[in-house]
Amino acid sequence: MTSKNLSRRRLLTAASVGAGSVAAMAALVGCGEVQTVTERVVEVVTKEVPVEKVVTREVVKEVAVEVEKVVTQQVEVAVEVEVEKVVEKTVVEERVVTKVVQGEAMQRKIETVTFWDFETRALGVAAQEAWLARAGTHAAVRVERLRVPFPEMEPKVLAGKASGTLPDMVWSQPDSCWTWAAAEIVAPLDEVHAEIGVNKFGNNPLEATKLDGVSYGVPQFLWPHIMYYRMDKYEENGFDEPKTWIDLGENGAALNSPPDHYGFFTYLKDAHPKLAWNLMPAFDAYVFDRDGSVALGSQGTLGSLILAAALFSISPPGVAGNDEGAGRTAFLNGLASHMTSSTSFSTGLAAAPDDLLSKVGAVAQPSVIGDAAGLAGMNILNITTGTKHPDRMMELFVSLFDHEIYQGWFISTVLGWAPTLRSVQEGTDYWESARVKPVARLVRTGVEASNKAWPSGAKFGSEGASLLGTVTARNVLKDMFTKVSDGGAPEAALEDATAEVERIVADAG
Amino acid sequence: MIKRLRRSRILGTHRRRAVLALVITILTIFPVYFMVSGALSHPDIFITRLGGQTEGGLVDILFPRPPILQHFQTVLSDALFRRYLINSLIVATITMALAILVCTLGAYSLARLRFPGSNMIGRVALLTYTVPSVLLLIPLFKIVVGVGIADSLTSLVLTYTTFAIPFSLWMLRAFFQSLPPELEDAAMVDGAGRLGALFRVILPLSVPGIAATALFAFILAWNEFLFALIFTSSDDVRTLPIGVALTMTREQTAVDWATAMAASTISSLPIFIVVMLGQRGFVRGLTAGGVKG
Amino acid sequence: MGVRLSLRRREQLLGLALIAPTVIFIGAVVIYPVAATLGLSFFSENLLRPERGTQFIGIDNFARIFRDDLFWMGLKNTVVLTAAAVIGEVVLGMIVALTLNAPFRGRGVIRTLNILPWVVPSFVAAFIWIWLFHPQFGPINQFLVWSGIVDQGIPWISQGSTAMGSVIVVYIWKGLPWTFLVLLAGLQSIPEEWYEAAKVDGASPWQQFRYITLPSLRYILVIVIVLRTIWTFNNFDLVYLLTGGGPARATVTLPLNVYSTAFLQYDFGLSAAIAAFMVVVVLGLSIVVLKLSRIETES
Repeated sequence: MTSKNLSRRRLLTAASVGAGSVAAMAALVGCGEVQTVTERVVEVVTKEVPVEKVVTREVVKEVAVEVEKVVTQQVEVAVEVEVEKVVEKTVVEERVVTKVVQGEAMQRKIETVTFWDFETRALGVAAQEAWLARAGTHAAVRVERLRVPFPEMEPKVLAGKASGTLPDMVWSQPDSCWTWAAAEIVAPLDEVHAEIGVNKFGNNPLEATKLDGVSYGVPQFLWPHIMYYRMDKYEENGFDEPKTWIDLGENGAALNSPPDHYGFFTYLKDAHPKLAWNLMPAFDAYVFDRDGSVALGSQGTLGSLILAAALFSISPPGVAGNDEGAGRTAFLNGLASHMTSSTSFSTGLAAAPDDLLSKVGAVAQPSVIGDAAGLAGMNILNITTGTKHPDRMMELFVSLFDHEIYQGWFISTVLGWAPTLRSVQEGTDYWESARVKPVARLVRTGVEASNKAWPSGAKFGSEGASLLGTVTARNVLKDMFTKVSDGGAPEAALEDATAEVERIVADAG
Repeated sequence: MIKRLRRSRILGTHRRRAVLALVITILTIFPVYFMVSGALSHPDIFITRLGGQTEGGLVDILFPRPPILQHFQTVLSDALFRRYLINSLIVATITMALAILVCTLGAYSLARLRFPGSNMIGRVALLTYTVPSVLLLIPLFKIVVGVGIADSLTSLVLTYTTFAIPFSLWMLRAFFQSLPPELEDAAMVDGAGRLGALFRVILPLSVPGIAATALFAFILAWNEFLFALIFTSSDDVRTLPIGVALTMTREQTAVDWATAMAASTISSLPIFIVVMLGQRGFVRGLTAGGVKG
Repeated sequence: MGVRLSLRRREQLLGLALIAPTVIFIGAVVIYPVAATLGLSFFSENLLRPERGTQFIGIDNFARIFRDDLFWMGLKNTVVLTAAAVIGEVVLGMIVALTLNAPFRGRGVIRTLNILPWVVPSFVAAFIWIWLFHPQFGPINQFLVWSGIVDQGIPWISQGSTAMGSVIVVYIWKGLPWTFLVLLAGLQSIPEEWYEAAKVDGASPWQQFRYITLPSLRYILVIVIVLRTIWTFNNFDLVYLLTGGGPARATVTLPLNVYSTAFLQYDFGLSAAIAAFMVVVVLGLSIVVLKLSRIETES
């Protein structure tokens, strides 16, 4: 699939999305032909015990009007949520009804497309499938969601590329998006963006989908990393809200009393070097400059390593083996007074006993040099170069990011993800919705943080983008921080890492 | 029997030996024990505690009180997980059967029927283990796609059978060589051909060797992760390792340890049973063939 | 004479027919793809540079890996891990096999229990050990803290000084059952009379072990050592799942390098070069062993 193929496409259909009006739908069927309608019931039955009820019901009703034989679609989405609890059963029923609307003409039959997704949590799955089904109705596609274990997406996608068995659609994060763009695994999507409309996304998230000025994906949702701290302990000790890294470091040191309680919980185990991507931007430190030259060996990087060493000294032992998940449980159990984590930690905080949510504050991570800070994690949706339905995929993508459809999904999905659509960020429906409201201040902090954080932390410039894949694959940044956590000198760790990045650049020719 | 009882070796008396065996066994199985007790425990044991509570923590893990079955319910109530369990049983069973068939015929050929290149074939087969399997992943997947069996249990069965062949072939060949050729000669004189002799005389005597092959192939097919990950995508044909990985990474950043331990226990159970049934044969199969080489 | 010749012919044909499935399986699933891939070690093929295609570059890939610190680190770790694990497995395996090679109450149960680590899937094994090693809630550290040996949990697999040792422990644990089973089989095929005769001659248990057991097991020991060496040298999943090569490359091995070079750096040529190097090393070892085993069968 090429961008040219994509361009040869009427996106009329998609334009009508959300309007739901008879007129628009008539335009859709305008040419007159065989119309296929999916009737779909997605029902999520939750456990009866301590009350949560999520009912997502999507019914596409078909009304045949005698004279004009226009198909009206009526979409109802009802989401009722009270408290979050384990969802037990997902029942999906589906029935395809084919109706001849007018004589000859072309056929618009439902195409099945595949999507390699990671989501396995019942609630997230139900929301995701309802979203895909709703948008799919408009694009006349049925999205088959195949689960790929979260950490195994990279090898799976590469094998798909090498053997010509890519699905139609994948998800990525900025660094994998660039790598896959360079390897021609994901297709350029500038035309989808043109159809969705300009300024629908923040500038930083949109830039993070681009390689050499061309966008290869649509920002799906954000998970910005913010600084969580124990407000109750701050009050006990008379500390003010932290504004700088010096505040955070001093307060952490004052609250540190191992092994019962630590000032910070730092972690390095995750496949992505999140600690590096959190701390380096705060010092305006990046692996590559905008022109692609190696910028790692800077005073800024050194500063971030020295700060990391200070944080390690007031963290539980075994930083290199700690992952974000372990940190979250530790934080929930009062083991640490500070932790950087993504806004999706809201889920855990909202469910924690003893009204922990009210005791936890969050601030955007402070900057030291420049005005950037922290990692604004982001998931991106991509159309692969292997799709056999490029036109339908484009329609699907435009529908997925329609304001109503996107917001409907976002209100019902995993708590704590931050929306990428600016209209949702700036509106009130999302923030006022029952589930989101209690954690709105945390997620808002994340949205605010994402505006100044580069969504991939340690990278600048399209030149560096393709090389960054190698830097990450060889764990250069993670190892640099690990050495410091193991007692190594920051200067030496930085020197090794810089030398290695320079060798990578030289080898790439 | 009296003779055997008197057998006293470097490790001393039977009592000392039994104590030593017990110590070794405890060291060997404590991780497995923790897997099961972890699955039966309250999820709190997987949470970092405040300093003073560690003592109680250890006892809680060793003796879950009360044992909780909820994690097993969570795993087994997942229809997809059950599907993966059945798929794994199918793949491992067929792999086992196919490996027995291919290796029995092949090993008999190498043990009894001299033909040009027979030595070479045996050696080359064993040498295929020198290839790091990671290297095979992409080229083999391309072949699987080319042949049109991508995303199928067939692709896994064929791959695992091949991985089981070299060791099984070596083991069975040694086993067949340990049987006196006169047995077949007698059968052939009675009018049975080579194949008749193989099936009527040799195979009934080779149950231990075949059990060893079966066990080896079953374990290999049951445990394999990487090829299963790459070769299959649909839930209909996924095997258990992928299912457990999906369970473990459910929360992406946080691991649901207790549920994961339950999934691990369930996925280890069938194979424990197979081992209990087959281990005697495994040792006897090797015993006959091993020394003669 | 003519009849006998044709019988021989028939036997040869039957032999070929019976081995054919084996040859087809191994040829299609291993040899063909390997031959196709190892050839790539002389080409530049990088999916991130699709515009460059596949070009013959001679030994450039090998030159590149030989000046890469990551490769040498991987080689060093692979050798250390393989040597330590195989020695540990063989020594402990011998002790377990000797222990179980005599009747005592509950021997069957003990033998079954000792096989369990082999049958626990690698991904499960790695997962259990990550928990066991966990610095805060891992049982090993809970025990150490409870017994007062340490104040705070030791991050076994996440600090440079203990990571490799911990990984070796897991490998020995996982590889021990297979080793002791094969050795046990060897022990059981030594005729009892030999020991009786030695005892009559007044040989001590150690002398019996040294002069009867060890020489009888020579061939099987060689096979055990070689197969365990090959399997450990080439093992990918256990260390990948346990540490992923960390912390700071303390446990990175060559199979991990092959994997990350192909799957994360998309450089198939370079990855093939590392794999080719591994095949040469392991093949050399194996040939030595096959030579040894042939001496044994011919004698």
